Amino acid sequence: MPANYPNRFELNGSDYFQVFLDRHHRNHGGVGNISRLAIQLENNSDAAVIESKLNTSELLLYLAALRLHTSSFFKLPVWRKKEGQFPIRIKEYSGRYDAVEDCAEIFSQTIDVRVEPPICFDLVKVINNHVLVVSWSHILLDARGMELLMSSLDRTSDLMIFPDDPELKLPWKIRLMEMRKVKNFLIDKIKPGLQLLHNTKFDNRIKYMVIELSEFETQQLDDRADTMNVGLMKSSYYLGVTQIAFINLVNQVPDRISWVPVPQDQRKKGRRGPVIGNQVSFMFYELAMRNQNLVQVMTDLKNQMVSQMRMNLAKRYNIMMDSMRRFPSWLYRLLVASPTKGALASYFFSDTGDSLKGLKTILGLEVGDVTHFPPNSCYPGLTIIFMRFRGRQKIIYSYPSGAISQERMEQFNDSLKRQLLGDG
Amino acid sequence: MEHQEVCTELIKFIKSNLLADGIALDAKDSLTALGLDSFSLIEILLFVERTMSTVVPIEELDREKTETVYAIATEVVHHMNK
Repeated sequence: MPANYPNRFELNGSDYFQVFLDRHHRNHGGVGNISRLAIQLENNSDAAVIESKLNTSELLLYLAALRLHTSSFFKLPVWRKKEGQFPIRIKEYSGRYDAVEDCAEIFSQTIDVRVEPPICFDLVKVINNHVLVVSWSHILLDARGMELLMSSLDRTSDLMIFPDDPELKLPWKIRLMEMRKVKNFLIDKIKPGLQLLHNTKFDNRIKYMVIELSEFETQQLDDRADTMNVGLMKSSYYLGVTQIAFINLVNQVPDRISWVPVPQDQRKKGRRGPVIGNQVSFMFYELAMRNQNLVQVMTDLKNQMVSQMRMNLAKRYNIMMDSMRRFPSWLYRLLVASPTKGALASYFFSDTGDSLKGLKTILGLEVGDVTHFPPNSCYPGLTIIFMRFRGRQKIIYSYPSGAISQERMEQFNDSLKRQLLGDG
Repeated sequence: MEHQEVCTELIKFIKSNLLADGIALDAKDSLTALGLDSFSLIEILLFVERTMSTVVPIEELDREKTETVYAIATEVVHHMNK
């Protein structure tokens, strides 16, 4: 193993928040805070060949040897490299599924990062194809980190694995001032909003649905966006369209609002990395639960975005999360969970764009398609991801199956697709 | 402010706030290729607003008008002279 990979490293503030979410999932009977990337491999279905290729990656073997240590009193949680060899093993599932999301065995797998590798691989046989599913703990890597990792396994020398300077060096006086400003916005302004889904006695299995547009439909979507003059605000356009379908889903509650955190990648641009750690902060948009047209919704989103960027909310939020990881866990839980009662985490939106467009091979294996399967944001919650691969738009969403019926989610599905393509 | 001067200020801002250390930037380099996203572009517009007292409405911009520092500077100068 290369000497430049450290034997231990601390979690940053965003990672620590993911530890909190992981516990929250498990406390509600979920599998934990686990992300998945499904990679369809062309012309290769041999698990032994794929496995041997994965085991040539020193970086993957290093990640597989990491374990999370959280129990030290007054010490920050750390990842430590466990002594010994932890070769990557691929489990195969050959139930001839229609789609990878139908393979319940994979989506019900958990990863206990204290005792197990935080990353694992499965191979699923779907109609006419094999799909390699990478599952990983969101405590270790965010989605962009995994994209960078998988896109660069053939040449990791180009990758920046760890952040240059992971520690925010700020005096506590400044930290407290920044935290106060975030508190004024996040805690005082945000009142417990609409609860989308019932909070009790729901089936804890998370279901995924995928809308996959053809190249023609994707072009239709882009043309519709152009007619709306969305320009640079394509993500806001997607969020606006989703919001209109969402209002239909929850049957409009005019006097209520919902909140959606939208991640903002904090990586400096022009470099491939860092891979390790959650390198995101968030913007928080207030969404009125009343009938509005798309232009109104988008104008409102744009104003909120600019106003939050003007007040530097994402950077301040990062400082707050970094500072709070030093708090005792009971206080952390109290501060994170109580004031907004889940209002900030029950609906999550992200647009990863076409960030995987350069992904052609993984360790020499030809890639045919890729799909993100994010962890559910918060129990019970609705998580929606927009992504594009090779000119085809996909929308993936996850929800707890017992909290909302499949029929209603299919209505949401149809409504969203109609809105996106302009037939709504 | 002249176009060239706006370009110089924008490059200085982008290099010190948005790009990783050591990444070169020329006025005609593609910002998308460097990984700048819509959040980055709004940060640039807010910088223009703060330091050049010029508001460039985001809804007037498209990919072409924000693809390079040169193109953004053209928009900034256009709005300065309005």
